[in-house]
Amino acid sequence: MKFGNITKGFATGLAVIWLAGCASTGTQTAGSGVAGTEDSTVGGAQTAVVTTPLVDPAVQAVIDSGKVQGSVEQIEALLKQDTVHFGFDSDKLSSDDIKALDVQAAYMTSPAGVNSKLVIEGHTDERGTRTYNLALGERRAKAVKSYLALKGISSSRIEVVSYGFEKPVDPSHNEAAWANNRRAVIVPIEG
Amino acid sequence: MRAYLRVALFGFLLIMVSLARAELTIEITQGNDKAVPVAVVPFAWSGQGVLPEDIAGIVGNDLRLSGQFAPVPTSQFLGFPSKASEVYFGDWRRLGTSYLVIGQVTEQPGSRYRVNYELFDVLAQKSVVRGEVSGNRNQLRSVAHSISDAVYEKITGVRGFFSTRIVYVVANRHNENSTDYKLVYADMDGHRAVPVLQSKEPILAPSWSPDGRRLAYVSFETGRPAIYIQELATGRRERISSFRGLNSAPKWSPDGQKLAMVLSKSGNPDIYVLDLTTRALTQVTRHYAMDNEPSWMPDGKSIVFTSNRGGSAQLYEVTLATGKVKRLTFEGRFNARARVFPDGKSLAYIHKGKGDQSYNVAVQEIDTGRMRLLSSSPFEDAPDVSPNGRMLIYSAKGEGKGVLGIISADGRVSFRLPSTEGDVREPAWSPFLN
Repeated sequence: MKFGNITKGFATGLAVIWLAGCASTGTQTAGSGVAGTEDSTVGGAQTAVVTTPLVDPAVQAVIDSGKVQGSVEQIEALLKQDTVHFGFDSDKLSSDDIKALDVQAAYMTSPAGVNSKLVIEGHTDERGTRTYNLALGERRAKAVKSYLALKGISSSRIEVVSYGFEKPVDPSHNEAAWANNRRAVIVPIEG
Repeated sequence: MRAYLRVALFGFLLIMVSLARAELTIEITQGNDKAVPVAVVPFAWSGQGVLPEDIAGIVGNDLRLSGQFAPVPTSQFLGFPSKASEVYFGDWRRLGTSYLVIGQVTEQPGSRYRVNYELFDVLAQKSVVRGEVSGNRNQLRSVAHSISDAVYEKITGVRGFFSTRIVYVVANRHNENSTDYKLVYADMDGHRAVPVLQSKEPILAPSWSPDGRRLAYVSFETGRPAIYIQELATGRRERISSFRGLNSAPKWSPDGQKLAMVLSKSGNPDIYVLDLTTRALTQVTRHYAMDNEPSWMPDGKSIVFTSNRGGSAQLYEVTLATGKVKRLTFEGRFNARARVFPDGKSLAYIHKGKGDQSYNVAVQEIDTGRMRLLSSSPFEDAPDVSPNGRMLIYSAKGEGKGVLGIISADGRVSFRLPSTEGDVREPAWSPFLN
């Protein structure tokens, strides 16, 4: 969703390679985001061709890391999951969300993602006081940060900010809205 | 106790104080059947055209807002005296009114107005106090409030709060990614509202300096929460705290020299005190739990704060000299955001009981620990106490837009200050200003 780095990686993964005569699958390192080039002098005339990887290089990087199990589709979905949700007044991560964070950590420690940085936004529902929730939101964002740190992501790569219940996804006053609003959102830092 | 049940008994009275946009208008949500009847006679006007403000109307509303007085409707009046010589006590006794306020407004050169007033004790058939106040057109509401203060103090022996101000935050949400925030300064009755800060990012937790000249608050204008101090007269402001993590819940010390605040720069939220002169920062609490929402005791020697160190949010008091911490609340699952009454004997805070769904304003005597719930809308927040300790202001939501509520500390009367625009929240009541 907000994963600008994935789409960016994808774009640079469109590899332009030179070849002649025979078909080639390309030799670029999957997920490296760097176009592999190959200069063949067999034959004479050369023409520019384009290959497009079927797998998002960021997803490929996660698969190559060997740190998580799952199909390409599963890993892609987990990598794109930018939001984790919490129980009432809690900063505990659910097992489903931990899978997404494992994938995130595998990407961030892979060669493709090793320079990536994140801001983790912590949010709460509207129950309780505004200033209590500002602190609770920070707890949630820090729970995500701590988990990623356990997986080897340096804390200098992750910034945490709490909005408490200042920025609800859904401003309604009901259980469904509250469940949606109790969240931490992973936002890649551009550049 | 539950305002909404009582509303059914007392019925709704709606006073449209003003139709001006952006101002808050007062609605009575619960009246006091034991209020003392008082007649405020429309003040005689000698000048050109129409008197710009209804002085007697403002005084009557102020007295009603105190919860201790019930203004007698003018339609019942048998006469409209404006001088002592015109007062027939028998007329007012027949109406059952205990007190009578009369007055005159005289136009002066230079668009100034002189207002004379006199308060009578109807039963004792004597004048209690009289006075003269003057001001220009824009000051007429202040003139009226000062008359209310004089009348209230003379009768109750307690200083009036009618000349105090409030600040609050109004948020206008356009969509998920766009909300306009305003920090608004207004009379305590919601009139003469002026935005003193406008931002595209959240503003919260305003706190008055004890001299009433400055505000400390949290603003997200840099994308991160930081604490600012703003001088009201000039609008001049300074970013006073912008550490990594939380910079939250600033609260001015009673002597005006320090600011208590919440910082999480060392990993988790703790209470700190910043000396505003030396800029020395002292860490007051040191606990892995969330310590939050400081409020000073009037002697400045200890701070009441919220902590979830016991498993749920409860109130604690830390003595600054020793660092000793004492738990103050034991009832319910959530007790937070305390404000200490000016006499230091009671706390106002937000309470959620075990099994309750709603968060409500509660008042607790510190010595006895006796707690009383004051109001009953679903999501109340940010209680603050008037400087005379008689009234509380708070925010309420859950039934549409956020509104401010005012309730007497004894729970007898309550009012709403709904906004014509946006969600209103984060009120803070000024100290005495004159």
